[in-house]
Amino acid sequence: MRAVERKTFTVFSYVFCFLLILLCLIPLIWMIVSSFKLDREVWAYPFRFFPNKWLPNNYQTLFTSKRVDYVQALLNTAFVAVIHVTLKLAIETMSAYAYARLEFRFKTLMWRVTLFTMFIPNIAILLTSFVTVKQLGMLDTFWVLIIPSLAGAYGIFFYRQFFLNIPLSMEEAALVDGASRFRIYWNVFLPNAKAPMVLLGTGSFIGVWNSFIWPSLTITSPTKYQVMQVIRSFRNMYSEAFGVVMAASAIGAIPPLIVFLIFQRYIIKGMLISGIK
Amino acid sequence: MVVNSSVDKRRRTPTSRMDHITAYAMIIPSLALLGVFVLYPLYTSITKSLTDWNFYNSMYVGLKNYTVALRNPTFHRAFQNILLYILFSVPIGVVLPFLFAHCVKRLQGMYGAAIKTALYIPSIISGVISSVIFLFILDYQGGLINNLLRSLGMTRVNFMAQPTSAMLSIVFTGFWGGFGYSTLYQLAGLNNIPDSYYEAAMLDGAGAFKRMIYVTIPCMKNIFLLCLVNGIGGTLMMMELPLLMTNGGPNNATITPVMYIYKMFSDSAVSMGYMLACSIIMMVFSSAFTCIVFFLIKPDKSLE
Repeated sequence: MRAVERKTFTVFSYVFCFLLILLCLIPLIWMIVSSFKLDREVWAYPFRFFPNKWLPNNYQTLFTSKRVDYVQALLNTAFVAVIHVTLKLAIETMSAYAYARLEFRFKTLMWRVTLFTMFIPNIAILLTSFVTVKQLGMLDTFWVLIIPSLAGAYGIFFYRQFFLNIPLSMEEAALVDGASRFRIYWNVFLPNAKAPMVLLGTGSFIGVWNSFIWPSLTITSPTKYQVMQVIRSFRNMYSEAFGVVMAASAIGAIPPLIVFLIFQRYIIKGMLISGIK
Repeated sequence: MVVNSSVDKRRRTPTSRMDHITAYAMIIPSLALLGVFVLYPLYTSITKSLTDWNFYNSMYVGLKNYTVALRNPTFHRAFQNILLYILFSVPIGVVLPFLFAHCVKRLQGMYGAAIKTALYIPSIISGVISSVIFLFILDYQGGLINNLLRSLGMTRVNFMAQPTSAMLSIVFTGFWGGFGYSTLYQLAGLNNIPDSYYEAAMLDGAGAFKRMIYVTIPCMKNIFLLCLVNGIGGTLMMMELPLLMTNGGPNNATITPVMYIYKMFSDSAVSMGYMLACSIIMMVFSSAFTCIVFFLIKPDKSLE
């Protein structure tokens, strides 16, 4: 009796999980499917889920549009994201190492200030950050997308927690050999921190790639548009042509997806670990 | 030196002068960034919210901006809406992933790995893209849902035109973007409960339902609390989806406080001082929430 019950439950959970996958993926599948339909077919009734013929017309419109240069936007965003992630990793791990392993004056004060900033919601400083970057002459340059978002305490907090758990003996050997603190950070701590760096690095890459509000406030010249801005403006320009918008969305979703799939082993494991603590 | 290191293993041997310089060099970038892009803007936000600042000149007006903001009907409406959003989205966002996690838990191997990947994918899709997709799916003319309704012989629904359906559409889009992540999160919690607890409960003759009530739910308390806190905190600051899907309409039925503030950006008639007062009110709200949460969690942590 028990075994039968168990078996039905397992079958049930397989079916249920299949439905879950559908719930996750159907919107994305619908996006891809529609991007290969002509507008005529999109609005036709009775409708078919899959296109009659898979036509790349929307992609042609997307990449040859005179009004917006989508390739340029992809390159812009990739450039910004890569520079941002590199700088963020360097700055945050460095600070975290110093907070975790070095003693210096005002350390507690600095650490408290850093932690305090974690509790300030973005909206409280949105307008005044805008004014600040304006004063610094960064408006409508890539710097405005790269630099202000480097300010953040969460990463420092996260890496510090990780560094505190690295055994002292590992650096003692290096210290005896006369290595400087920076060398220890570079040669001992960084190689060990690969997992959290991948986790937070992919997170900030995806964050920059997907950001919309800040770029739409600060970037005004179309040659510097970011991907999400372009998708949004496609939606406004071709409000009746969902096919093109879906094509733009499908392309715009690929880079984060690739990054995620490459590092998913780290990401899901890291999430499961941090979830327990 | 030996004594020192034995007293506190974490603190390294006395740092030399060179090390001091290294330490400051390592910390200054992050501290300078926080100062310029967080603390200085925060200071300006607070001081300028007491003036009628319009970028060029500012005159001190005391708490006038705050009293005006607290009496503004649209701002009130936005707060009512955010309560509704929380009511609609947070309970579902905790309970359904809990049930889903139970089903996913049993799956092993390839199928299990595939479903974990699939569950994670919606959370890496940006708000812009998911809003565009769901606007299309819910479209009156060529949308998937309305086409299905039509095939079944039912009347079509103009989702974005009615207050309730517009809000529910936004909630559903948000749910789609987040439920997979919460499911994985709760799955981590479930996997963390030792099997011996269940075995002991079974020995005592507890059925599936009793095991759920007396073993699973108490063990998951912290995870639930965290999901709840993240859910409420996130919803409180919600802006992108309603902005992109309904732009606050119909008739301000989906406007949120953060979006109300954001929209003043492009409204030259509003004094920036007023806008800042509104954002400081939001900050006070969210920190009050954070404080309450910390107060609630603390006693629990000390018990462990």
